[in-house]
Amino acid sequence: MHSKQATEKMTFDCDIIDLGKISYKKAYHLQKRSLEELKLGLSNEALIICEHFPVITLGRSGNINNLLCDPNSLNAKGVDFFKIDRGGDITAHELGQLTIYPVFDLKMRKHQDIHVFLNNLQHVILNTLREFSLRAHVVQDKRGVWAGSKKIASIGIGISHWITYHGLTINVNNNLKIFSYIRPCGMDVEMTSVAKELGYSVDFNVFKHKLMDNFCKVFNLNIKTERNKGVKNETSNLTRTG
Amino acid sequence: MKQVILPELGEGITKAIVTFWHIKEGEAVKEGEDLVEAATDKATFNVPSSASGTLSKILVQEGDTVNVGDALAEIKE
Repeated sequence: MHSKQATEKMTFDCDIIDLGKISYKKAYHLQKRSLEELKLGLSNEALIICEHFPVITLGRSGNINNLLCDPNSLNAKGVDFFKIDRGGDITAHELGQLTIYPVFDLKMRKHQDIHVFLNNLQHVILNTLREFSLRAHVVQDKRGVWAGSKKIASIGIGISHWITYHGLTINVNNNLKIFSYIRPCGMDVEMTSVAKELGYSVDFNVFKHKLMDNFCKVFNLNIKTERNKGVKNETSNLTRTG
Repeated sequence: MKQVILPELGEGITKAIVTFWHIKEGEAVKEGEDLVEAATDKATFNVPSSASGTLSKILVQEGDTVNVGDALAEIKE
């Protein structure tokens, strides 16, 4: 699945799976399936791209007190809630926000290193925001990407057999309302979006494609196929909480 | 008897917190199967079993902080 260029620079065959607007549960199952397929050598690495319907997720290291309302009240607000197996604390997703799940095999890479992988995810985000003339930065000892003192993108991953799942989410055109229900990442931090920082909404597809381009550059990806993988009949053992 | 060790996770990463045991003490496990999950930075890392057999002893509990190189469990082959 991998090839070496004349320069001896390793490239990684990768499928782009654009799920469009999708529930968290369905996308989670697809991530796990892509992970298992890659583990067995049955598929390429994958970049799963989507927008989630409103959902709040609590990571393994998360504190339920960072959810600022009763979990049972979320359903009436049209918000799902799951406790999940990614790193980090609490986060939220809503439409207009871009979420990416890279399913990459770190064993095949020069650096089999969690920090290097997380740093590279941040580089992808920073490079993309720069293309929209948005000044952003990272903060020492805090993951994610920031615009001034506000957080614009969050990161949280899982690793099995040195294959990554979960990933990153960037507030693009979303209205950020859902973050009023949580203390994002367990911090007293204000969230922002690309649209809020620029003063206008950006073309979501253009943003998505620029982000993909930066993923290819930073991670030396060789895109093999782009598809919308059917997930209608998938089942998942992820159980809604609250 | 084989020990399961917390492997090197990356430069500068010396510790992790045990967050979830996939297998219970006394249960069968296959070599390479995810055995225990540990969290560091913004990542959860699944440590695979080093052998096929029975998970005979869990040496660290969920919530414990462990160092890279520490033994996490024993597998009876």
